[in-house]
Amino acid sequence: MAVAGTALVSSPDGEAPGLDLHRLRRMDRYGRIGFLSGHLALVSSGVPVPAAPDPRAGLVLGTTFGCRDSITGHAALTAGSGELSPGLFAQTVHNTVNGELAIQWRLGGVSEAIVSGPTAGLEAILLAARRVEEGEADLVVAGGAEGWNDAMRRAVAARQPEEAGAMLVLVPARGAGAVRIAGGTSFFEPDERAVARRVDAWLAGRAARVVAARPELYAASGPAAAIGLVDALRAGEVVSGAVVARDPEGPVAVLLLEV
Amino acid sequence: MTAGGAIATLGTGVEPLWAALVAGRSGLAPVTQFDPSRYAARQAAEVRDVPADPLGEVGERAHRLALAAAGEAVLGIDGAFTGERAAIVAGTTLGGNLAYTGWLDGAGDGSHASLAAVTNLLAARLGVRGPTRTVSVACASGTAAIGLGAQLIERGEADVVLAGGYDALSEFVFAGFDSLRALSVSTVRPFDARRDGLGLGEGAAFLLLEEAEHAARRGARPLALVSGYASSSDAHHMTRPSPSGDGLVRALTAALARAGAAPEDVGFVSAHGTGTTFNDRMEAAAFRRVFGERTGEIPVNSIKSGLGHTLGAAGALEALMTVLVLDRGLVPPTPLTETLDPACTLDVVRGSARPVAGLRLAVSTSSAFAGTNAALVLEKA
Repeated sequence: MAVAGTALVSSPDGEAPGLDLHRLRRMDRYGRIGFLSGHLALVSSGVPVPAAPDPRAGLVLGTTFGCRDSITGHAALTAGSGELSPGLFAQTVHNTVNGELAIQWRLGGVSEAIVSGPTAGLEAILLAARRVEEGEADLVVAGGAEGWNDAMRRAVAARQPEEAGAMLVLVPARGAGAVRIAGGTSFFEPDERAVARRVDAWLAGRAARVVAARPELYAASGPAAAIGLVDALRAGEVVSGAVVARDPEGPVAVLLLEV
Repeated sequence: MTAGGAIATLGTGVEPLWAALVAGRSGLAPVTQFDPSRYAARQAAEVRDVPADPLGEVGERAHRLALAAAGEAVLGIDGAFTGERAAIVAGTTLGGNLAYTGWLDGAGDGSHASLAAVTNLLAARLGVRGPTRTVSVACASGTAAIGLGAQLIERGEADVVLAGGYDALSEFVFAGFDSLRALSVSTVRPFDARRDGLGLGEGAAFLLLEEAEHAARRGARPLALVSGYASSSDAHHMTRPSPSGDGLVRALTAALARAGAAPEDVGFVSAHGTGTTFNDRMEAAAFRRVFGERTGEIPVNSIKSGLGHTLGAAGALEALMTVLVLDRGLVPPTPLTETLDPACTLDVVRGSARPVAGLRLAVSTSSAFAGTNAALVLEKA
């Protein structure tokens, strides 16, 4: 399958053509970043918004912390004595971006949110690619998003997190010159030396360039690196490349791209 | 699927839970974990005695529920669930949330607050080196986890997969659903004309899924086959389901297609069945559209009036129940439901468990916030 569009955003306050600002304002930082990156990726792919929900169009999103910005807010209201906000509570599920993008773009098919940690974005792309490859979908938006509030930053203070949303639009194979996802794998391996050995064995020399995902972007790291690789492939810098995302806890994901 | 593990308000372990479900018991009772006097609703289906982590490392309630169910599921596998061909897929709505919100309140150090904590912990303890994945699509998480787990085997990425879901009750969740006016203030009775909402619960269930030859090599008897899975979006509203059932129809139709099955093959439906008017009527509409004139002839149940709505565990508990229905030919009743809503023209099993002869194929469905739906097709082994 081919990569038909990409978008990488680093702020929840961006603007984009066709954006429903009312929809955007009700989301938390993760939601806005995920929504913006997905929306911009779809705009860049040039696909139209269908008249009715399309059962063959969907979204698979990866995130490490998801909507913990909204969770922080709802937790404070629950602990206090004031009025609770049903609208805020509705935003405390990690598939918020799936729902909001599905409404705006009438994505009626596959909908999954992967929360495996820093590898979740690459896992999401792998899952989406297989759906397209196996003929279950004609278009899947896939990638990762992370948004942070102060409390969340304190919780991971040592790791200097950055906000980012990185999304790719995957469609069935297009003509020669298109960038396509040639495969991928994921596994659990806490031993760093064994990770290198298993990644090398799986790639078997198929990648001319291997990029390690930036850990500070968490689940957006793999998709952001994949977008960089897509640009390099389109520019003719390389003919193949791989992105490797690793969570020190154990999960590893590898994505292979080629022209 | 060769083995399972489960914990919920009505029992710890698959067999005690099955016995309680067949008896039509309900575990909904006054909440004890926190003072509910601030809220309109006062009941939930709590697990009274959540087992401690056998290694003493994990305090998070949701994670202890998950460890208990997962531990039961792999109990008899004796070293066959380890290495690069073993995988784990866990589903949760808010796993780790008690650790995270506790840390916000200055309690604890926030360890095990990660959404992937259970998956990583199980993989590390069991020596799993294949794919591991955590999925969070609100109340459809357990169903999605089992579907994604089965697909790992279908695609040749693993030989054996531990897949399931878990979630714990908390004031955080209770307050949220209460603010949405979604909680029952009387009796939780899905599809009943007098229903007024759902009752929350907590629990976990894990299924051990094996590639057929892997199971045969170790002499394990398959209880059921996971034949199809699909997810969909309503693309309608963040908390209200599409009244026409469009989204659920898409998931159910796609799951049946994936299984190579037709709607005529389905002999039992495990409904999401929360007990809210929006959900129950949406589901009835969706089932009518998928099953047509046969809708009123297919036994349907909801066990949420027995176990409560256990969020990320719900789909896994319901899938496990569906496996046992296929294996044992008996459908547990929908506890507390008596007189059906005329808008829900379904054959809702009520009163007592119903024997079903010749059952071959069943479906289990979930519908969630953000408009996500998931459906599993399960087949008699």
